[in-house]
Amino acid sequence: MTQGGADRAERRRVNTPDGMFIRDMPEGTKLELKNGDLVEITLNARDGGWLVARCLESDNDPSRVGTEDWVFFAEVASEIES
Amino acid sequence: MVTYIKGRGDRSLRDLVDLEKGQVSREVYVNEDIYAQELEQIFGRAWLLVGHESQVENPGDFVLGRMGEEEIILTRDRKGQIHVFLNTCRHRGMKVCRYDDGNALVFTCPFHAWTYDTDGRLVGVPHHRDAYFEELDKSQWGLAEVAQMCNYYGSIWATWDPKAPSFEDYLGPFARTVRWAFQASDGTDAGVELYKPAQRWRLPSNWKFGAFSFAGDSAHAAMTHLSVNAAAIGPQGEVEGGGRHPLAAPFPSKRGYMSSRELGHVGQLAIYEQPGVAPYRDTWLLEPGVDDYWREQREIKQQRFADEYLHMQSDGQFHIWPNATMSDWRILMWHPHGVGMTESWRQYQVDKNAPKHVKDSKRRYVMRYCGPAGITESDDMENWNYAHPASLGMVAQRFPYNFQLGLHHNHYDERIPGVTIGDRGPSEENQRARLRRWVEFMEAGSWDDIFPVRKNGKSNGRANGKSRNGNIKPSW
Repeated sequence: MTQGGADRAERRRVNTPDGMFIRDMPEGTKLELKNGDLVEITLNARDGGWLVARCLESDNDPSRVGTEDWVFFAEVASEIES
Repeated sequence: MVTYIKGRGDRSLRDLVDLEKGQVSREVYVNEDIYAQELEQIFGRAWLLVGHESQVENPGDFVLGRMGEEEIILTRDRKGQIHVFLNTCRHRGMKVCRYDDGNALVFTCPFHAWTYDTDGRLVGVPHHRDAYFEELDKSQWGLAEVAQMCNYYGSIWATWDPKAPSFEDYLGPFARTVRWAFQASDGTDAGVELYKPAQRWRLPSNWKFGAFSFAGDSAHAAMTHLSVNAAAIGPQGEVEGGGRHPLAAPFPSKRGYMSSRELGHVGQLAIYEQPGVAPYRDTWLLEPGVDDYWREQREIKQQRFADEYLHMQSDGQFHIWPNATMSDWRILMWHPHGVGMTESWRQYQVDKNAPKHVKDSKRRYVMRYCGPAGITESDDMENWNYAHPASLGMVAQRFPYNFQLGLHHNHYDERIPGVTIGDRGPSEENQRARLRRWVEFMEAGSWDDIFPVRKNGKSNGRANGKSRNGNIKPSW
């Protein structure tokens, strides 16, 4: 299921993470990417650079929802409060 | 591909290495062009020892190693599979791993953050969606992996050449010897682990000085190691005159210089006149309680091999072509690092199930014996460090090295087919065997030219079957 612009506006952005911040994020943390996708961390490399995350919402490509992919820290816009 | 140096002026490589006369030009050890050819022809082709499974016990474990001059990553992926990768990013060549060892989920290049899973797949490329437009095919840009890898009783070997024979065929009659080197002291296969980390240092000498001398140059010991023998650094202290080696009980055997002329592997090993294993002799007289463990393990081994002749697989040291010397307690790697520099690595096996006080006692012994601060190896390094510069000069290079000790005084024994034996006193036959193999590798266009079975289309009369790659398999 994707989420439209109105829902995206309602997301509670609690942090604007950088690499050092991402390094310590636990699995389960939700993130908004710069392209607007909402993802959830499933595996953290804990190197400050990369995460594996499952896509929860994507207006850009709904087929990505439910899939896992590697996310680079620079792609992350903010942490979303669960 | 390096152009073969088949001729230097009117001299061929075979002119530089005259094994009928036992004379070898110093150019073989000091010439830059020859060295460059070695990297391509030998280290780009041969099976090389890269590590041990105990170094990467858990998923994500990694340790750096070397193949020739180049750095590799030995790692175990998340599914438990061991891999050997070149340590270089496929984007701009930066090292993707700069730690000697550790545990990692991924290898992230510090340059542009291209990121590789521990199975070598390129999994992360920044801007893959927004700037590469997902047009970069990540499946084609994984880490460079060796062409073949073999876990041989816990030891990990690899080659860059997809056409190399299987590792066991490569070992030939020395397969049993390598297997022995990784057995626990009770005879259990793959029963050892390595002390961590490896000792590594550079010595200003050509790699062949160490690699071609060990397991084949006992003539140096009386003079070179006179002082260390007197120092009694063995675990028995000054008992029975001291010395540097542990005490050993007598057992009916014939020791000798044993070499595979066809494959380049050599050893100072033994043929046994009766089955079984020598009884244990108390040795660790300076370390209370240690002998109890070793004695118990030996008794188990005696029972296990009571009816077997352990030719070439009990006591002694050996060398697997081109640069791995080993025994059942140490591994000596001779990595080329420029024509006049060797990066020397030492690693030591110990029973993985041994109690801590036994492991500690053995570690103390090997540290005072081997390595950059070891008393015995310091003697050897002094020789090589001075022999190399003394061979560089224009005049010096007019005079070949002499390899005539024991020349043409060898024989064969049907109990160990495929092996040449020199046992009439000190011999340089094991050094000549490696130089013979050196010429073959340097001149060969492919493995078809240098693996005896493929070269001849038969096994010199010893063929008895087909190997995995379809070639006739030798009977050794």
